[in-house]
Amino acid sequence: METRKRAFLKVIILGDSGVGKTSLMNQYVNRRFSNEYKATIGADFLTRDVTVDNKLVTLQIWDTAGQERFASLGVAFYRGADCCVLVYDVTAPNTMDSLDAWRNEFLEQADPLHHDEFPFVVIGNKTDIQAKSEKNSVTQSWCSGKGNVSYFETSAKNGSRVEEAFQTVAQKALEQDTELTKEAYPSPIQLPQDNNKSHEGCSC
Amino acid sequence: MMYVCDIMTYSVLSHKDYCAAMVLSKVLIVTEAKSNGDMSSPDDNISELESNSKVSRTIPPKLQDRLKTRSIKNWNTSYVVLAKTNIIFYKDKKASTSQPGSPHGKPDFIVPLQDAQIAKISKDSSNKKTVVRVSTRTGDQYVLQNDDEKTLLIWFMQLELAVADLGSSGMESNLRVVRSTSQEDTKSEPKRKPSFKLFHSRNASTSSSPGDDGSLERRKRGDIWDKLSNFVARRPSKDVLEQKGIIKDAVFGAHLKQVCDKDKAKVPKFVTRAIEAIEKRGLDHDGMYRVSGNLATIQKIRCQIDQDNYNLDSEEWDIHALTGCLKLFFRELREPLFPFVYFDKFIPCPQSSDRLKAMKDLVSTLPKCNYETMKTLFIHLLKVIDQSKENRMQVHNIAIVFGPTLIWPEKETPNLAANMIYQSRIVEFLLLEFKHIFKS
Repeated sequence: METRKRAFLKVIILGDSGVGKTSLMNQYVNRRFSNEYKATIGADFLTRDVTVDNKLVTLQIWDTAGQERFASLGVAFYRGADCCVLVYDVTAPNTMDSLDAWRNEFLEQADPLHHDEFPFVVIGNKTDIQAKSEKNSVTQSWCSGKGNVSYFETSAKNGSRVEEAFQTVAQKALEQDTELTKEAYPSPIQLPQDNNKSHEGCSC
Repeated sequence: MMYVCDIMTYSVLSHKDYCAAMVLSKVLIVTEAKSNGDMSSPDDNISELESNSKVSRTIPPKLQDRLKTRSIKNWNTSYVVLAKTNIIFYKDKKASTSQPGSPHGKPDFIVPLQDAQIAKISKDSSNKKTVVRVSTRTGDQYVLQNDDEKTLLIWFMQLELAVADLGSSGMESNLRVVRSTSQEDTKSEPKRKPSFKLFHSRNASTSSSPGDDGSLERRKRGDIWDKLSNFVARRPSKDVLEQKGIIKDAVFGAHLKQVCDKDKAKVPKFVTRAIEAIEKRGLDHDGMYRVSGNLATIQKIRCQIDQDNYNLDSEEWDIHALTGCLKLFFRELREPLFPFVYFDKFIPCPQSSDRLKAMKDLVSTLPKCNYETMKTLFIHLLKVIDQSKENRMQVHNIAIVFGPTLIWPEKETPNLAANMIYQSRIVEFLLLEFKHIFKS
């Protein structure tokens, strides 16, 4: 199991329209922020190499369109994801309410092995406009109620906590990837005791 | 604790189409006093067996030849473990030993059991021995054989149980439904259906063999499936419910023509009213039509409209819920505002100066309702774009948002991504050239 090929991890970013998914990805990968206000068509991805636990892994980050109509793309894009990032806008409380819908949509479409254990990272974006989310405590309790979910508040504009958030994403994605490799060879099936006698007459 | 871990001899006949790994097996049931679920502890019996079992690990090079003759010559010995979801083939016992980082050792290959079919084929002219055939979901076939028939029978039953336990992926259950509900529906899954039946009959033929709790359990499951599918088949269809008036004509999810006929107008009442309500609130909201509205609120408005209540001025509805609801109306139409037959006509519109004329001609042939509704909507959207300094919704952004809302193909095609760009471009073009395309 030594140095096999480098882990390749797929990450999906979901969230309502206009919460800053594209901006977050751009800030993390290109360390740039554009003031341009432009809706995303379909989906797009960027990659960045990152070190997790002294291992170099490649993150393939998929930015998706928040527009409702594009949601039907789901199946094609979500498949094989190792971690899912749910983004909301701290200045628009109703985008937080949509987290449940996005999470369910993802689980339904991607259908990972263990729904309850699949890693999610929730990001409350735009802290440059509003320092702290009104829904901070609500979000915190939402996250802790869903199992494997971490929570960050970031600003894609000034880059605050973006790096930390995605480091956690990479960490969780790698754990998920390792977990899946194990699942490929589950433990053997047990047989009832008395079958043991059957090999006595074996002519080997 | 006990596991089935066996030293086996097998031979790969061919790959892909008829992949038969013959397993001439010196099967050994290994007793292991391990509790953590792996099988790494050494066992005297195994080492003894290993020495006896002539492990030859050459996969035959000329698979094609053997596919023709279908004779089984090369037998290889393998250490085989029946796991929960797979049959795992190892070079030998040692290869299956857990190591740090690879808890299941170094398997040679793995046969997935999900949706596999297990059949027992008795001795006949071509087979000197009884074999168990495993047909995987992907169509590969492996034939397992064993010196000791009793052990083979145990394997057969354990395999059946393992497959039955995995039966949740839907393939097998779907087949059962197909089998019991629709006799005419022979088109669906024509390839797999017969093999399923074969599997079923094999199952029945073993019912006299000892210890057939597996097939009993199966029969019980079958009963439940039959009952369930009967129940589903007896339910009245949506069309019947509509005829009886149990489901009333809804505004959402109908054909544009239906809604217009119901409203006795060329533009659906909801579209007119929603645009009025939105314009009343002002068009300077940042990101309007792009920003998502609250989904629950949008559904509330939808319900209210479907119950013929058109009060859209309530404080309860914010601007993004209203715009979201208008978008939802177009998305939910049985046929998009740009009718299906137009999809392929609009897409290849030439880029040159001819484009304007081609688009104009196309639009003029739209059904009356579609034409008028499109005109009303675009007049409104142009007003929104006029205030793009305040709302940041330039023609480009509006086009991205409305492209896939107004135009989609009847059947999803592989060039989904390309379509999306065209969808937006068509809307953008129509908005930019509105004055030339739509007669005033």
